[in-house]
Amino acid sequence: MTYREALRSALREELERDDRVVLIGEDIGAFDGPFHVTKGLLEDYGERRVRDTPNAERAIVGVGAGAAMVGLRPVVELMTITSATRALDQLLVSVAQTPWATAGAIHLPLVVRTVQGGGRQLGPTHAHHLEAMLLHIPGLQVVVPSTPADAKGLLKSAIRSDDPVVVIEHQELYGLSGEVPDGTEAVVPIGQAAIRREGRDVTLLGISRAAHTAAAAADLLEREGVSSEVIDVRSLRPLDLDTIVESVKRTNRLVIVEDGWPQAGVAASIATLVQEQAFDHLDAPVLRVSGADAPVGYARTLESAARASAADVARAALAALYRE
Amino acid sequence: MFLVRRFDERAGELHGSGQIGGFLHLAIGEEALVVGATRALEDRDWVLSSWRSHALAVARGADLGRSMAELFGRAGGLNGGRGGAMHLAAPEQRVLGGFGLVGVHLPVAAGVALASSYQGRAEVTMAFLGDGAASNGTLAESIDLAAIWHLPLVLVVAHDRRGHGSAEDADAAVASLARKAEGHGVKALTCDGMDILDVHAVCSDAVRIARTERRPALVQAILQRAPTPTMADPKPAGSKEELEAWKARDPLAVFGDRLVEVGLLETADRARMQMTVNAAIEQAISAAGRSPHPEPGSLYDHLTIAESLPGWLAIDARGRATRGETEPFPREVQP
Repeated sequence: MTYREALRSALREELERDDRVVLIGEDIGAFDGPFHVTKGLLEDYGERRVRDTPNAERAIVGVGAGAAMVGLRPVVELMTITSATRALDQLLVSVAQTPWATAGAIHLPLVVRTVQGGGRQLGPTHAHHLEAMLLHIPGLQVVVPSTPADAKGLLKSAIRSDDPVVVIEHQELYGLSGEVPDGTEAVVPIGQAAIRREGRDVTLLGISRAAHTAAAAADLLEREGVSSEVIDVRSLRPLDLDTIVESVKRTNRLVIVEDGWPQAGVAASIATLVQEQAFDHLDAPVLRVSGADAPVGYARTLESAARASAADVARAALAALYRE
Repeated sequence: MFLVRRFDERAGELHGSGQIGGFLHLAIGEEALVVGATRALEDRDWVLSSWRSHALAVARGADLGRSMAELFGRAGGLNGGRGGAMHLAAPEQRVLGGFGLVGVHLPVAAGVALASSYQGRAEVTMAFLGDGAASNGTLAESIDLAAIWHLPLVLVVAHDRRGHGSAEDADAAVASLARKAEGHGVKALTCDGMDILDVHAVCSDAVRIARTERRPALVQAILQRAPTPTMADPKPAGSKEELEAWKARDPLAVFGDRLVEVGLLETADRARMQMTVNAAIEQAISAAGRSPHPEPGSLYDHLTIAESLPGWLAIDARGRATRGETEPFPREVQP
């Protein structure tokens, strides 16, 4: 099953399971969703459950917040993470802070689905990685699935959560295939990292699509005789710091890989936590490999130069091993 | 009109064969609007759009080779290959972009009009949008501000009910943009977007209102883009019958036939004109193909703050490339 089909299967199962679940977003019904994730759902569940909207991001999130406050479990969709910036006031004020600001009197079981990345010359407005922007906000759970099983499992958990969750999908992963369990087996708890590969010499921590970059780097490093432990973070908030710190205690070295921008980024934030928790276990500074600190260019050469590549990660790992 | 059409037809083909990447929104069927509206402007006036700015740039006389090179993502492009079709700007022709997101250019357009007004320049700003964008808050916010501040802004709406996104019924409670504009106290005009003479006459009127009366105006151009798929449009291409029906309304063909009919254009001249345009565009394509790809090391150009970055840059391939150092690992194969 592909990542796209896995998301659809999660939506379908949760629509089936709970009448309070409604889908709201631009083009999600009549046009099957901008990335065809919601294909066929309008046909099967009708306009009451699958609701097309105008292009109005702020209203899409706001209406989801209101409906969630008083009984529904809306899954709202923002077409890209760039368009999600236009709903930031709603995400910040209405969604993230309301449960806290009402001392828990108001719950907000809202899921915001959005998608980042691009990688096919989409240029400066359609290929952002902005998970750091959403991670910054207290009160939002943020998950970044990188496999079909996690896409389904984390989305199901998000829909069942009584508090708001942002699910950041990745455009370049929609076609990725993998094993995906059914039903209750499928649920992946929010807040658990996954060790994708065990190793001794260095820990490579990948965020969103960059989990695959980290895995590819581990292959390159193996040829150099370096044994890498690869961790997929899966959930940014809550963060499974224990799994990361335990791994660092074994390997004593950490390279964090992200496609997002480096300054005030996700890797920067995790690196700080790790040095606070495991300073005595580190044999080298925690290194980051991030997307370039520049907008995404349309030209292939610029787009490619701005990405964190497996080679960049391998090089950073060698630097952490003082082998460069 | 033929130039705009042919440029787009060839760009569409080149997108299909991979020389042009990303999303490419074609303006086929919008030529009467693009040419009729921009010809209502003076050279000093400003133009902004969300998409299809390449058509506006070409219509305003941007260099064809550099326009095509931008679509190719080459260093010789109007914007050095950084923007592509969705973000193409032709500053010399006062086309500021290409902003790539629905409605994001509308407040910017109001700001451009503010600067003209503030500095006492008799310029007009024309912003192009689709009817789908009218449901985004940016239209209401911008049009309101333009009305309050008496800004010389003309909004031209390509009203085809086929905006990138929205399914028709979910699109808007009130489909008439004219009514929305009037709700903000802004003069609204309507034209037949398939008829270049009507577009030109009505847009000229709107430009006159903006320039002489110093207040915004909105033109709703009812049109129908060709039912060919915009590249990467979620909507499927139209049926064969739809395409045939559209061809009967094709603004380019209809206007050409009309000119021949009334004796203003000889059939032979029409063919010659088409050949000249074809040759110019083939030349532009060949020039674009010869233009080099931007150097990876140019990534941080025009971002002066990048130089101050410590740490991570030192270990990253981009930093190495900038310093001319070699790569211990080969980078992945480029697409």
